[in-house]
Amino acid sequence: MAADASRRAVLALVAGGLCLALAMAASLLARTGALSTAEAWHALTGAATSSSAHLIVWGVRLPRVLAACACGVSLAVSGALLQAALDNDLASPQVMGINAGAGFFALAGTLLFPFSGVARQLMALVGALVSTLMVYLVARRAGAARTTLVLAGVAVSSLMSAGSNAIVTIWPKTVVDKLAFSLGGLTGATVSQLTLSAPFMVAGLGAALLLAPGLDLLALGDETAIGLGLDVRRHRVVAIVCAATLAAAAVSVCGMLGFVGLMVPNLVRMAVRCGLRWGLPLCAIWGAVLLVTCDLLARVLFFPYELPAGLLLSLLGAPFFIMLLMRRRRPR
Amino acid sequence: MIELREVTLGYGEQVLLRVDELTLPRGRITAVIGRNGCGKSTLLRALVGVLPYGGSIRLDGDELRSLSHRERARRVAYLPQTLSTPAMSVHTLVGHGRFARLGPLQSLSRADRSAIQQAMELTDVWELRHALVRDLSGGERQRAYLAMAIAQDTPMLLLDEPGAHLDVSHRLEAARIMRQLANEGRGVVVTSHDLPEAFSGCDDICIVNHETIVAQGAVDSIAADETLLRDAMGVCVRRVEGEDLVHPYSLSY
Repeated sequence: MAADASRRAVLALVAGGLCLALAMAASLLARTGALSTAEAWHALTGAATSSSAHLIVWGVRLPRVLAACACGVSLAVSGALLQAALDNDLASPQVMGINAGAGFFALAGTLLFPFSGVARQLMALVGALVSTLMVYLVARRAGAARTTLVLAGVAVSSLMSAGSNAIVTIWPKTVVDKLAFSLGGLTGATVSQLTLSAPFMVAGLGAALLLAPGLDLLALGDETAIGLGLDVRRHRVVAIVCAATLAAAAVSVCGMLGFVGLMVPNLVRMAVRCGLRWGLPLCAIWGAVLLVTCDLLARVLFFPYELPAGLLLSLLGAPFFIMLLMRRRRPR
Repeated sequence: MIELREVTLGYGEQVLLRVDELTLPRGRITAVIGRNGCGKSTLLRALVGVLPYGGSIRLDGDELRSLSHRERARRVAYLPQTLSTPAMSVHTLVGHGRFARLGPLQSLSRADRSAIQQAMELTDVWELRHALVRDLSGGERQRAYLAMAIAQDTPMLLLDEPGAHLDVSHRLEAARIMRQLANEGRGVVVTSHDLPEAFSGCDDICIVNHETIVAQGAVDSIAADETLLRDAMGVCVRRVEGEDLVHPYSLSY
């Protein structure tokens, strides 16, 4: 990679690290209700006198911040993988119906196996893969895989969302907060959920890093990539499965959170013109920054009321999606 | 060396090209000529593994389909006719030529960096190394991709219309580069519509007509068979004597 692009990537990585540290600190120490920033700091450093402060910081805020980081990383990397594998900057786990599929199957898992977190996790993975397969088959049948992929995703997403809505309507006790689940948010994120999802996230991220150099070749077109020694079909399938795994792991923790996987990879590409070897770590860190910040804002903007983080992301993401659509129509 | 025996190229029942026997040697430049849609590009695409084939295609004695993607890419480089315009720097693009030679982390060694720089200098794109591929002119882009194929450092190069977007001076430069590569012992196979350029710059000619290879041989012997050329191309070529001619062959009816 050219030296100036490497410099920009390193700068963006350092800036992302600083922003993430700030966002995490703000999220852990924010003054809300009876807990002041100083009390939160004392609780964090182990000098708290009040057990409730300790419980809020260590039992509620820290798991929530960690969950926001993990989900932000997973969703952003998932989006980057999909966009590279399909050579389509509109692709993302939400747009392609992967989130909705994982959400529907996770709800079905909760219904069928109410005491098994592992079953819920595996069902989310199956749902993500089923959605991906459906989108792929519909797009392939339609004859123009890349251009119709997004539309096929919208159709499959609607179908899966209808399934989720049916479950929460017929069995309303399946999810404690159905609005938070469908919009996406971290209100109910727990350490146990995160622990169950973590192996899938780690495996997905590891595989993504190994896939990155090959995915960069896909930007040159399939024929050129094959000529350079890439097994294009296998690489593409593995990348999509990896993206679905990451999205499913995130959805199990934070519900059907949208637009992280769409916005972050596109913004990273606009800011730093680099391949995925740098692009994936950048997406990971800025995905975490975005979600931790949105979660913090969702908590404090209208305190004592709390917005689902997914609502804020939709407010940011929907105009961004429209901007991408308009940019694609302009001649280059 | 690439050897084809009793080869059919295409998808299922649809045969795009038949080749009874064809040998593409190292150390020589072979031009594949023929009318539009006759199957020139199909031949190259099959040789790099993009198209399925029946029969036998051997790369230095090994059956093409038995080689892994990476192994094949270490033996044959391919420059397709249609080139994409990715938002990556020219240096990154040319660096991708080393893909099949690198480990899972794709770290470039000093030797890799040297091969990349040499390829870029050879094709005159070193000054453009920081530019984005999508901002290049058609000719600059063609030269950048040619550098990528050269950086692949393979014994055989398959170039589909490598001069299509080049101006006259860079076409001549591309011909000089191909000659240099052939002199180094590499085999170069190019498709071309430009008969004077193909006959003047190449060692061997392979004619494709009606989805089959109708002739292969040294330039002089093919040029001498006017009937064959007229039937396949509608025109023939004639050698013109002169010291300052760019192409010693010219078109004639």
